[in-house]
Amino acid sequence: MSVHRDASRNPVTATAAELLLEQQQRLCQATNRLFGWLMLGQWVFAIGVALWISPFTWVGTSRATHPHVWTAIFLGGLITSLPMALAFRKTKATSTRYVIATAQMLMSGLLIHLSGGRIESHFHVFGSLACLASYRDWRVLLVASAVTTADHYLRGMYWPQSVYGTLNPSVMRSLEHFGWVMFEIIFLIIASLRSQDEMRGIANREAQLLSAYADVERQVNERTVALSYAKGMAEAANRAKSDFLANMSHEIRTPMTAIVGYAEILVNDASVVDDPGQRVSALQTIQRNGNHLLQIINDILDLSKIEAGKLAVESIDCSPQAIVEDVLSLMRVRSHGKGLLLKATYETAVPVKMRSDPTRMRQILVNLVENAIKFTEIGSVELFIRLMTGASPKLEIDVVDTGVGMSPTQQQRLFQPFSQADSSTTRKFGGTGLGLTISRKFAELMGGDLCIAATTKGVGTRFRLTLSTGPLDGVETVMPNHWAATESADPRCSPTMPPAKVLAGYRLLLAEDGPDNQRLISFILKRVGAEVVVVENGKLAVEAAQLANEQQQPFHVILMDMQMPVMDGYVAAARLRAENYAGSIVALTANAMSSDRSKCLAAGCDAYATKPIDRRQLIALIASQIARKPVAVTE
Amino acid sequence: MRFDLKNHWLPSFVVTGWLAACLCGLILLQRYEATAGTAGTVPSARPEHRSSLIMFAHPRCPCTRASLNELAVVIASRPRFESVRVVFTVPDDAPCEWLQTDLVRQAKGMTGVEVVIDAGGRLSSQSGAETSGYTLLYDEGGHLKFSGGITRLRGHEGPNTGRIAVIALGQKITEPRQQTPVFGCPLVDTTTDMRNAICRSPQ
Repeated sequence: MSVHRDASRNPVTATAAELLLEQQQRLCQATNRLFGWLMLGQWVFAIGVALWISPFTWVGTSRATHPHVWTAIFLGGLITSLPMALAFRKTKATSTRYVIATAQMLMSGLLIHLSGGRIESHFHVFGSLACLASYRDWRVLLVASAVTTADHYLRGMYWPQSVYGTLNPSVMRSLEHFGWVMFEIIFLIIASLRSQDEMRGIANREAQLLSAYADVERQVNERTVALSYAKGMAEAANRAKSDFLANMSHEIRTPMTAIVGYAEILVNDASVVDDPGQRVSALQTIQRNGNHLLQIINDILDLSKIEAGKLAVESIDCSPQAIVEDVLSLMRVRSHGKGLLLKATYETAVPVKMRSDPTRMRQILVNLVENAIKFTEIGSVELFIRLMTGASPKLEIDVVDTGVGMSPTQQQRLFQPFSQADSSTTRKFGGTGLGLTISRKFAELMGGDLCIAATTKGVGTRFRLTLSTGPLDGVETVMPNHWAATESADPRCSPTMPPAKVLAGYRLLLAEDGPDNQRLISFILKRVGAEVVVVENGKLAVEAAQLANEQQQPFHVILMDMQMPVMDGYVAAARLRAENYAGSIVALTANAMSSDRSKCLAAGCDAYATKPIDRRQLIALIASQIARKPVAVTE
Repeated sequence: MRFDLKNHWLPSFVVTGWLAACLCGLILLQRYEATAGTAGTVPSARPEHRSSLIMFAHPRCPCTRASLNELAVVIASRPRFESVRVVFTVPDDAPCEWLQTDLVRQAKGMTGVEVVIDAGGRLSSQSGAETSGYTLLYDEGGHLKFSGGITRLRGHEGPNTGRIAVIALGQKITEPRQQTPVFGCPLVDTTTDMRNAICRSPQ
């Protein structure tokens, strides 16, 4: 009963109980069959013994078959019949082994009789008990010992001489016979019980193994499913990257085609060069496509930084209202071009300043508004701005368009890197599929999120940008009027003013291996009054700097390209610093990662400028370096 | 588990019947084993004044092997009998090879045992011996001190009242005259019904 109760609680215990029962039944079946054949053998043996020892009985010269022979045949057969039948037909029945035990003891009595009571034949009793111990069931041993004890007791009572050799045996003789049987039985019972314990232990261990095996199999199945899922995801990602590369190729080649094509026209077609209108148009096309190409490269760099976990955002004071106005101003031309209404609505008062990264915030909003304009043919693009106050105040900006909308499947793909709503989107609208991924990462880094608040296919989409404002204690909030954007031209498109000679009288050394860049940078710097010496590699730069110092005409700033033949910029800067060169060295590199900046500074550079060169930034940087490390200008 | 009589009455009946039949068979066998043979009138004295142990035997009775083995045990106890004889009965109608048996050879091989051939069974008849294994013991004065068998049952060896008494008398231990049942085949065919001869009850 306790086994069943435990089994209901613990599956391992239940399995162990089943295994034990199965093992016991197997053992009993095997032992039953063994005894079945043994009983048959004993019967045949008994007949043989009778025929050998006492084949005939005699009266004078007359003989007859000895009663022992008939007894062996019939009584032996009777004793053998039932247990043998049960041993082969009722192998699982508990009663079978009890009948076998009884029969075995009765057979012992028969054989003792047939052998003439020989003392050796009594060993059959003890041998039978030992054989019956194979059942590992102490009850079988008790049945057998009860039968043999009863046999001795009854024969001792009615035919005492047949058992004890005397007509008046003492009680002690009976006890002595019983004692010898008990002597063996006790040990056999102990052995049976221990054997049962061992079987129970084996069953428990086997059940534990089965349980562990099942656990392992379940884990393997789970992990197989997980691996299969991961494999599918990896394959999907791989496909997405392949698609992305194809898109990149398209996105890069498209502006490159315009750039290279118009550049070729300017070089080869005199009519275009001579016509100021066509020349300016061609140059503007090259500039526009160049900027677009730059944007694509910046997106890729941003994404690679995000994936490498190296992207950092600033947290400085900025005006959300100003940023929104900037974005609207920037996007107004494009929305007007498509005939769309672009406006912002302030649903609550907003802080005059908040702690965030204005550059990234602007980048996100530009991306969202640009997308909204791109996917909207008729209607409007509106921004709804509100402040969510609380313990952790947030600025919430909804960008709502009346464009094509998205299906649920398209929504799921939208924020995956390298994925757009679907491939037809790429064909129809272009883009890299990186903007929203990058924007969401930026939003998360700025303590917020970017999600699709609502979208309906063919009706429109509402993107929701949430950004942490940082603590607003003591910050004034204002309710801006309904904002009407004033046309503000892109500074990049503003008429070029004649450049001021801000670097007039300063000597600059430019170490750059690319002839085009040599010409471009020299041109820019000379336009603002600088004297520029150009060398082709780091080794010549070091020599030129040393020579200038020796001639008392040191350079105010060295512009050092970091990747050059013969000697690169890192080695050259390091060598100059090793030789106690005190002048300013500004690194120029196309590597835009923050680690590259650190590497340049570690090599001995004072500042860092990335390619492509931003004219105004470069001039400002050089001016600041000259101001930081003034060098006496050689007259 | 509770015993369900409705479902188990037939197996129970079979097992009980089988057990009862086996017990009956064993009881019948035991009764047969314990059934003693007959004995005639034994002369209480004899003219020969010397101690002697005489066993009458059927040369082919399987039960008599136990009697000879018990006799060997008696002889091994170094009794002070002046003669030990085994008398093999040879009926008148016995074939020539009647005495060519293991029992006769065993008796002849026993040290100090004189094998006597009792042609026609006259000697056994005079001594009142009717069953194989019947043993007589006379003392020096020719007085009968013991008569009967020296086995416990038919063909069964082992300590028994007859053997113990004979050994005691062989050691000159004064014992009252003793008589024990004898187990063995009838020496001569006095009846025509064999079954009665085998299964008859003790006298």
